Amino acid sequence: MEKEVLMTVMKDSISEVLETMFFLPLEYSDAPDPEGLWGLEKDRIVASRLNFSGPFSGYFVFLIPRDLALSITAGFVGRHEEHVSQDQIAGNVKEIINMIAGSTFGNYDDMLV
Amino acid sequence: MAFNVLIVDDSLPMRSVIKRTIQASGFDVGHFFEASNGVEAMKVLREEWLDLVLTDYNMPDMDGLELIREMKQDELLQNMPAVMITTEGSKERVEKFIEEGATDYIKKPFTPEDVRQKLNRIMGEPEYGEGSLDDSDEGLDF
Repeated sequence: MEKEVLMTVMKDSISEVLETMFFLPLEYSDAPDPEGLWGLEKDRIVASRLNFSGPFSGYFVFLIPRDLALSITAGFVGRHEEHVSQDQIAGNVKEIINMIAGSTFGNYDDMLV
Repeated sequence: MAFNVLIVDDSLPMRSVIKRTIQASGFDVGHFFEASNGVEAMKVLREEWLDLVLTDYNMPDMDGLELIREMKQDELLQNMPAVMITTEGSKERVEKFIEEGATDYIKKPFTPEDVRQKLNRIMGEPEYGEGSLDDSDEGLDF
């Protein structure tokens, strides 16, 4: 799989998931860390990893600032932020990475047809 | 006519979103039931009177495809509409779902309109009420 093709498909998939399910329009930047994510303390980041195997194998890693994860989870489940549990945030982040991975593979398959 | 709907997904946030999306679509739902995997779903299906099953594919213990296979082997459940909600995007996989007995599928990520169109096709056009997508955007704030 060519890296550039995969990057394009992944970006499309990330946009599709976050815009469709969470109403979060995205803009991509070429800067290595435009939001200063890497400068955040560990406990202010939520991370999820999804392994895959098959014709090719690897893993997806999704990192999101905790405040943003809380905000979009609250919107997703229809509750105020103070009523959102850690489990719900974790479940939501897992769901996001699952959707991004599924969408990436689906879109990649479509490109090959 | 009010439909009883079973939502099967191991993600609590996703069950919540599916439920609210159906409500926003204006369908007259009598009662929502929830299960976090196929095993729990079969238990609910054998205890309650249901009209429609919406199930995730990837779940622990019993996945959505196994659930549908099990439903197809049960005389009382084999004609119940079962819709697969999945991140699987490949045509091959989706065809497999239909072959195995899924009535239809909804691809994640989905919009309320995607859900509405599928449910209309399967269950018939709803009588739209205050929560209708046609009447208001208020029900769409995921």
